[in-house]
Amino acid sequence: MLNKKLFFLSIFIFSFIFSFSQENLLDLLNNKPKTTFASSTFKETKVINLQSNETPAKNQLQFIISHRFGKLNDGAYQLWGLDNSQIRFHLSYGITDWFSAGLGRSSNNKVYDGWAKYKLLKQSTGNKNIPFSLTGYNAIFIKTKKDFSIPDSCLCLNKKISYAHQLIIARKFSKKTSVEIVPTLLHYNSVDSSSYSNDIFAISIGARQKLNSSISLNLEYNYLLTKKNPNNTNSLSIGFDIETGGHIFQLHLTNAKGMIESEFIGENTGKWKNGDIYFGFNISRQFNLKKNKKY
Amino acid sequence: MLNSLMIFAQNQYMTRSGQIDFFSSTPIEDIKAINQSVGSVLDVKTGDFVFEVLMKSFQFKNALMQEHFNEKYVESDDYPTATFYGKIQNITSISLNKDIEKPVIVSGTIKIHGVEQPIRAEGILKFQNNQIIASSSFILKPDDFQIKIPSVVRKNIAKEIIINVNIKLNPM
Repeated sequence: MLNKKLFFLSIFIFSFIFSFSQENLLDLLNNKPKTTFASSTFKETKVINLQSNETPAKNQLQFIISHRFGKLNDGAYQLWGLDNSQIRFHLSYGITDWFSAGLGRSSNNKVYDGWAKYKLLKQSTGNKNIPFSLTGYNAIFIKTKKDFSIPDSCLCLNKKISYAHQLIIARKFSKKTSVEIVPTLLHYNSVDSSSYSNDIFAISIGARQKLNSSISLNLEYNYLLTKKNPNNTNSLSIGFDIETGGHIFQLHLTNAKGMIESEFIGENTGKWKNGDIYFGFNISRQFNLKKNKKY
Repeated sequence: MLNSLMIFAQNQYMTRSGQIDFFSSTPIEDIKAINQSVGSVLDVKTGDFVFEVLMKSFQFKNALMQEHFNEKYVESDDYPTATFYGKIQNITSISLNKDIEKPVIVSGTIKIHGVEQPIRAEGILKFQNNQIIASSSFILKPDDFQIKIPSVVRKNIAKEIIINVNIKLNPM
């Protein structure tokens, strides 16, 4: 009897030592501190209209088709805005994991645009502790809609150009919640009146709250510090990111008609309280251009 | 005491740059991911064998797959590592001083996505240039580790995932 007890006791002690030594081996591996980078701060390269801190990864071609329908206050005759729509195509490419460039075309004012977007800092913990991510964005917009105040013989391309410069300061607070603050400088080569400023300053806030693994609620607000025109309003947008296998659908309501920074930040005139509410969506798809033979 | 510790240490072999890849094959698509920074320690005296795998270090053929893997399936923010601790069952019957491949049986506990499962796998050990080269292939099921695959992609991801381990351990 005693023997039996001793036997089990020794097995118990032995197994304890055994598992203890294995844990020790795991500790040997653990002693090196690592740096973990925050990933997927935002699902998309855009919060709604506003740029997020994300860029397409290396060799990824991202194609976005965006629509904004007409205003809700257009009434029943226009099916509350659904009869009208404007479209934007957006192509961007990750040259490296931190540098991307893109081209776009919007039907509103027939604007062509090009941009560079690059990650300057990546939020991380561990060895390197960086509390936020920092992304830079520089864009140029060329308005090609015919302006009857300018004669056709005058190409006046220079007058139709505007620029946007942004610094995107983003933080992933938890795996579900991310917030960004974006200071913006807009420059318009020409403005309607000499009393208006060519340079516009704005500050934007964007936020993402994941509701489950595939759906998140997004919010953005673009606040004008200076105005191009006294009628300009701040734009507020709310929407959902819905992820399916290969596509991301962003559905939203916004008081901004434009989808580019020069328009939705600097030239917006819509007001939520007047019913200037646009329903819109972005559909995004990524293509892998360079196959790695290893896979 | 010190002497015994030193002897103990000489029995241990280690790497932080082991390779583990996994492969999922369905009629719709093949998915492969490679991790080349796997940590492992083997004690050739006792046969104790451990692995630590940083989930975010798995590289996929495209960034979207990698994002889905980390964000939706293995939830790397919550469960950053997968671990294995166990033992080479037949370690005593093996002499590791010859340059010959030796079949081994490893059994222990694997922990992925916060879920522990017992595991037993066959592998090969080889002693070469003062290094130990170890390799193994086995099958894991995402279902066993409570990794939920959404219905829209269920046909794209195999129910059984082939895992390949290839590591070179150096004396500590």
